[in-house]
Amino acid sequence: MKKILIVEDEVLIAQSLRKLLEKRGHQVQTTESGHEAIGLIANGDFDRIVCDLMLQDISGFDVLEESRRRFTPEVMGQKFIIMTAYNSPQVLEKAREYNCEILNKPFENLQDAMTKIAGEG
Amino acid sequence: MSDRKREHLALPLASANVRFIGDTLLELAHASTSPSDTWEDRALIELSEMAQPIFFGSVIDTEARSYLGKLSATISLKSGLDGFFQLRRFKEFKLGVLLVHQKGESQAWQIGAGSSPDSFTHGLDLEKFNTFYNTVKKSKNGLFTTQQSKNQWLPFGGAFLAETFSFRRFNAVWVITREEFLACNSEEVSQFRYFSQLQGLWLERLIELEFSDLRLAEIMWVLDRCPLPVILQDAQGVAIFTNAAYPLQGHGTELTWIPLGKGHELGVGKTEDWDSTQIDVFHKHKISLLGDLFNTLRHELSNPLFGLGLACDLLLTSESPDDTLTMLKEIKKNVLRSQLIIHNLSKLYSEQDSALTCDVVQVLNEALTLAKSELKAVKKQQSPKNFTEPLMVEGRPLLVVQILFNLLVNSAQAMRSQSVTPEISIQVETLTDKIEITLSDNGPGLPPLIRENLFRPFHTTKAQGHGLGLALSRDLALKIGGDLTYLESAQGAAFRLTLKRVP
Repeated sequence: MKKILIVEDEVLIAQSLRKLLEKRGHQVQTTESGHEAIGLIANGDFDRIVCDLMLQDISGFDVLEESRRRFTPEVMGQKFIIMTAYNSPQVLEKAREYNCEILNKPFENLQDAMTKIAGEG
Repeated sequence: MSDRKREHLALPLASANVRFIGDTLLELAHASTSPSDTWEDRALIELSEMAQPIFFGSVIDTEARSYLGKLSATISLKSGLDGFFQLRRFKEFKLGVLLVHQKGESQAWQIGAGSSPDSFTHGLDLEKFNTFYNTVKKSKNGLFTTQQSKNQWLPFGGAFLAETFSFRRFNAVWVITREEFLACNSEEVSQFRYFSQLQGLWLERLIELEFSDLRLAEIMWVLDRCPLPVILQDAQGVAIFTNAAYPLQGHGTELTWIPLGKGHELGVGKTEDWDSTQIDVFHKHKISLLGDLFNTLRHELSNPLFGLGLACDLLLTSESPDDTLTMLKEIKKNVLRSQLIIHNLSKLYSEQDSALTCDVVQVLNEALTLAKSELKAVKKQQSPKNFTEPLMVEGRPLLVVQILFNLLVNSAQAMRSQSVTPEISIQVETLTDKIEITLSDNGPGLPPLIRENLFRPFHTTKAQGHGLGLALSRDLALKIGGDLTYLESAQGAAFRLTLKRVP
């Protein structure tokens, strides 16, 4: 069982992901706001954080950047997955810089995506 | 000391040095009646030596050298600015805007540059210019975004880089953007500052030229929009101005050369190509509009579709009655189809995807997916049914898909009201140096009178058509070294698209 945070402003995506992950036995929390996510990450002990790149308030990388200041950068990078439909070269380069994973939307394979999110791979 | 701190300290120092060399260069340029390579080279070497330790290793490389060479040769501010986007390190930047204010005037100007199809020059409120100029001047890193309320009037959206210039008679701000919201990284910031300073050495001369006679700018503007290819060359045969139609039409078209004095020559494309040139401009605008429209749609549709797909996945894993499961599977299938259309279209309209060859099998499938709604009741026969390997041909995928899509939709529309089951057969034949795709239908066919005018632009038999479909398709086919012909057949209409095989 992993403790997972989903940061996604599309309610249908966030809730579907939550239920799918809960079915696999994980404990899941969701939030629509990047700022709220930073607070939750600071106070919660999450094993994995799935964060959309384009949130309403700030970008997914902003959430990661802010969280890295409070924790060991390497550990935070390993926990973080940026979810995006726009994996431009800049996004990939940034992900390399932060040493975090990228998950493309839409998922090519649901099971693989779930495994990646839970860090079981 | 961290690199970031060094950068902050080094840049003002560097800019002062560069400015000094710039002034020296300008004086040299004014003093010399015919600037030769020698003084320019010497000055550049000097500049490079002085700049090298300051920019810690960013030596003036070959690319920068050739850019500076072009800048010193051109007389068009717009060409000079456009050259910035040819630099490999800025190739991801789409658009630039130069804001210029001539001291003492009550109005400022903004001049568009870059790969945006609509270059422009128009007036700008002086107060806006001053506020913007001061904000940029005071900024430490030159990084901004149009989300900040004071920048919302800028003619693009997203993050941008900006640098100010203060010349004797002008103040200016140079802005470049990728037109996306992701901020630029520190390497881009330092490259931009470095290149803007180099550019600044010649910018004053180009602005002076441009503003010395605003009518010149007006003429350039008009020439740029001329549907015929226009090119201006200097005595050495170096192009110093090309208009928007030139890259599309100029190569391969015979040009008429008009001597202009001082060895300059003006090349103008032949007027007998008028019809196809007109189509080209029309087509270019249409494609660019479609691209914009599609990007917006993709942005708006991707997330809801992804959410619907995930919700289906979730519900499919729960215990539900059989008919609910069937419905869910159907919804999921439709979501996947919509996502596939978006995916294929993004590949087609992506600027990064500038492949010059494509796989016939793939483009054929894409055209069929796109035309799926039109082809709903149409029986399709394809031979061969399966392809064992890709069939590579010359031509951008977007163009080939467009030709095939046009032909499929034409056929489907022609067969719409017939009593027999509409049928389209697609035959792909592989020859040594070409591939022939023949599309035939069992529709009403074409009367002889129409056949003669088939490929003429603006000729249509459809109540709502613009008569460009077939003319445009053949024009596109010819452009990629292929052809589109009408085949005589006993029943229905048949078209053959010939494409050049990639060896």
